Amino acid sequence: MIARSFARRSVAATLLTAAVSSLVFAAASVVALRLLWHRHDAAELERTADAVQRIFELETAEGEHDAAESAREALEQALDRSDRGILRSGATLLAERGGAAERGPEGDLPRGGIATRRSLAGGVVLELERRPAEGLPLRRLFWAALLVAAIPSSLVALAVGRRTGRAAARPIEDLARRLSEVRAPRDYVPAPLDGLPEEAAALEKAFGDVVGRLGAALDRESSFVRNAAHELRTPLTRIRLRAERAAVASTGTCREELEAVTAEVDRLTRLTDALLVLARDEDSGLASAETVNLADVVRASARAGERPVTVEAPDEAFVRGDEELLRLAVDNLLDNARKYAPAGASPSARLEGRDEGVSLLVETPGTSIDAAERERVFERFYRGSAARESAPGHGLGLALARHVARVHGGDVLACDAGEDRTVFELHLPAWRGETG
Amino acid sequence: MTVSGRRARVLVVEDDAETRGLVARTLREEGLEVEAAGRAASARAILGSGEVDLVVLDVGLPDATGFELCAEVRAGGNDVPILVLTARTDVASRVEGLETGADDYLGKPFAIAELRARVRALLRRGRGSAPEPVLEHAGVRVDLRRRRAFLGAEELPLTRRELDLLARLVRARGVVVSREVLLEDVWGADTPEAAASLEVIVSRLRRKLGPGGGRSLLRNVRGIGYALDGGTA
Repeated sequence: MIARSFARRSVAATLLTAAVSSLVFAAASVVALRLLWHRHDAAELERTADAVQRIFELETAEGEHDAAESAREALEQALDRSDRGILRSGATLLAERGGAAERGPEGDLPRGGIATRRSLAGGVVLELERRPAEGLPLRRLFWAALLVAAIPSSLVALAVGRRTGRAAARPIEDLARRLSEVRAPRDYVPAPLDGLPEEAAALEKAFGDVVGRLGAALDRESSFVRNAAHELRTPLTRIRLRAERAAVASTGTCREELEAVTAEVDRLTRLTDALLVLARDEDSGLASAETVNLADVVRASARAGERPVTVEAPDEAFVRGDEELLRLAVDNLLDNARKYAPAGASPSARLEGRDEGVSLLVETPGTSIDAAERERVFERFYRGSAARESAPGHGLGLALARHVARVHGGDVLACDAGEDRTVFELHLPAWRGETG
Repeated sequence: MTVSGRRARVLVVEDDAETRGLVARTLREEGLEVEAAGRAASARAILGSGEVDLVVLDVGLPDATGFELCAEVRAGGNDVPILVLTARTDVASRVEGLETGADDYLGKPFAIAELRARVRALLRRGRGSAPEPVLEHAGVRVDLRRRRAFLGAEELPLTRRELDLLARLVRARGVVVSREVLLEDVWGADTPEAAASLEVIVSRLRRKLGPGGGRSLLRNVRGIGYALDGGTA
């Protein structure tokens, strides 16, 4: 299973970070508000205490009232309704204001409340209490803060996450795109390592190395086959010259035998030609091409074999290519049909020229290829079950035909032709003239 | 065969001693005087020392490629006909050979009859006939290097034989070329099959050279041969 893309992972990560930090921000806002409120209350209570003290001391100094009256007066004037105040002198309660109901069961202050205590003149003690802050919109504040933090931060997270993820993926996507266009190792275009992230540069370098090694191995292989095929031609040339000269000088059976040797040399030459062709890179195309009338090639090939092949072809069907190679491909397709057509059934070849290309359909009556074998028959040295039983051959013919077609920008395919016949289609791009 | 009254002299340049000997013997039996060289250096010496009417040149030599030697000979102003023997027969190496100034090529291994026919054709054609890369006459242009032919600005779809035949007629610049010469030069031999093929190819060329059957361009001179001209027949 393929996991999520870099961009999506990165967006998920940044969004998660944004969500967590928004939550932290909202919680911190609530805590900070409570703290501020508390300090505000404490300061106010101190100011109230100052006022009580001032009034009490003023009343006491005027001497109009006794201590208890002064105390009551001071509390009445200075105290906020929500606060509670006590003035006592030693164990004697001078005055009290604010509901005792708000005290806890043990006479403690409710949780969260604020208290202050100070000594006044004449051994009088003032105690003030304020109930905990009530009605503070902490819950709403929390949600509001969360919203305020979450909207911009998630937008930024989305953008940054996408950018980061895409930037991380870009070198990999680029490599994948370039690799998908590679048909042969030398097509590979290495990216400049400059400016690439470390990991991407390592990947690039590793791919470059692999492709280089592959290319070198392929080159070695095909140059080996090329050299081998060339080396084979020297002795083949000698044998052919000797056999031919000897044949001319002899008569009867001896001459026939020598002519057979010459024919064998020609077959061996065709096989080395085939190896040479197969050693060539399919995608490199032709270095140089000439105009070929495929109709002539098909007619000549049909005439050349031991069994007749029925040909249906226009007078001319032009392709651009190498006539020798195309003849090799057509020969192999027709020979294949000759080999497998049962006695009495005549193989046929139909050539059609259309605008987009030229197509040769070679039909072998009386045989069929399983769908499973339809691609395998093109493997080199592969021989179908029927071939191993009955027909001679080296298993290169169809591979060769396909290879030649592909070198020419075409292909050979086994068609789905039913139970009682086999059809191979050779397709080549049509000849296109140049001007100038 | 003779060239200007004396026996024709052929230089065989081939690194494989046995092949060299066999080719030399075969050509001597044809009545030719044969010199043989196994290296480019000795071939140069022979070419420098005396009259050679034809060079049969192998591509793979120990001290240079045949193509290099060929280019060198042409660069030195020597227009001796050169027949290249090559183990590579694809179009690319054919073109390479012709580009460096070879007159013909023969793929290895070859039939003796084929070698004889090519040698004869080249000896008969003689010197100074190394193909120019682009031939032009009567509005027809043949690019021998790229193996393309043009009528005006339009490329003609010509097969190898058609192109060779047209090139031969273009090279003659309106002069009538006999059937025998065409058969020798284009097919390498005057055989009944070649003669039949000549008729077919002439008729195809005619069709491609013009809507009016090409008669105005490709002229049949009854009983003699063919000519390519502006239509004064």
